[in-house]
Amino acid sequence: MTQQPRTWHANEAELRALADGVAGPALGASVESHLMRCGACRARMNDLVDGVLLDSVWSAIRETVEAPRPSVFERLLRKFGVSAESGRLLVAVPAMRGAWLIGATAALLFAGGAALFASGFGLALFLLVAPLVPVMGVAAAYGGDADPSHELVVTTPYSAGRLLLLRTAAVLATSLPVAALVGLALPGPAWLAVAWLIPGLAFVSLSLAAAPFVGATVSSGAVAATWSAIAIAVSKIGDPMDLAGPAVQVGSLVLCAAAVTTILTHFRLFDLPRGQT
Amino acid sequence: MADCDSTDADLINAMSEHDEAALRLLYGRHAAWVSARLRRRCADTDVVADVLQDTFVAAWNGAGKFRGDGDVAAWLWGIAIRRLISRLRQASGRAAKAPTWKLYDAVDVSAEETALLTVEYSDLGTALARLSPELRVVLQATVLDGLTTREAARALNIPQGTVKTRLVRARTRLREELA
Ligand SMILES: [Zn+2]
Repeated sequence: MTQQPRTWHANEAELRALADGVAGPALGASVESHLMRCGACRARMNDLVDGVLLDSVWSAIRETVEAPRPSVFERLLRKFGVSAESGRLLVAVPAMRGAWLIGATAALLFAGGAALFASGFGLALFLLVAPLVPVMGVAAAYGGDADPSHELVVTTPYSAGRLLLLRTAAVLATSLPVAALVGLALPGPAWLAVAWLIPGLAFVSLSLAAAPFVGATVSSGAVAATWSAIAIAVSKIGDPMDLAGPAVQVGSLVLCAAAVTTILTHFRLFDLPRGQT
Repeated sequence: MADCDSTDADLINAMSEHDEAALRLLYGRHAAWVSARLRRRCADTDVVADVLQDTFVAAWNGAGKFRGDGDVAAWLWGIAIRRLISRLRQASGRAAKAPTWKLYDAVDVSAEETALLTVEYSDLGTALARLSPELRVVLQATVLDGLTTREAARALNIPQGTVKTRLVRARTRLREELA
């Protein structure tokens, strides 16, 4: 503990004078300089200093160090004028954390790869999977269990609706470019790369519109199941290209408009917990 | 894992790997004396609490930058005293133009205090007691608190050149006293 052999330590009265703030400049300087060299006397200070103050400062420290440090991306968002709170919620979206994005990319690459080797079935698979990527992203972004920021969401004075829209924007921003890139790599007409875009947006708005009533996980699951059933049926009995055909595009546009209207008229529903609406 | 047998340097090392238990242990060992030293320099308990918090949060965030061969107590105090100075400067900047804070009291050493000094303290304290207040505060800022002459000048609100000349005079006096 000490740098040089010492036979003495500060005595009780001296330490107490320092702890109580009544040590004058010379005594204070002596005891302080001894404390800097002597761990034993530093430890003896623990019983002499106001424990209540130390405890309250410790809880403040713990709160500070437990709060996640802003990531590079979060700091970037802040530079662009996104509030610290919005930034933290955006970054907490699983899509932003990469895991979801990797999963979505893998699914699309799988579907795209299948399309390259077996055009009929593979194309159908791509056209089935691609529009669902944004919906699954929304479900993942809004699902509670796997989300460490869930507590943050619950305690934040943020309306659930605004949060959902914020996260949806984040999911779309990350998933659309990936899906478009995979689509471009596919053989066939270039418009295929964006053919799933309108259905994709329709599915997102549909699940958002239904989310206040049944929850985001159920609504996006139902949308995904319905679309999969339709897609499988269509590609079995007809041409997989029909999945990107005019009927689907127009139908999607109509659904999308209806869903957006529902969201806008019932937006206040989002602020209420499910069951009280 | 950090435990009671870990050295301070081990704790800092564990803190740099986000081990919160290590921070708790470090706080348990050092918060009391740091708060007592802060309290001697600032009577406002709220400020002391804020600075104490800032110090350990800074130690947590800066644990990776700690040199393994350095002394942890001196490192912590270096953070604490600088936080206190900037905190007091901010407060006085808001309140008035003239400095409203006094980190180092240039008062005479009382006879009672001199009597309290144990004979064994044949070092800094006894020598300080024989110095004039102006010389003593300069030594307190530089030797005791480890500030640079530039930082001491800011803390004492005197020109840096004055700090240097007083430091030379104080050292000469001390050499005479301790000889
Ligand atoms: Zn000691």
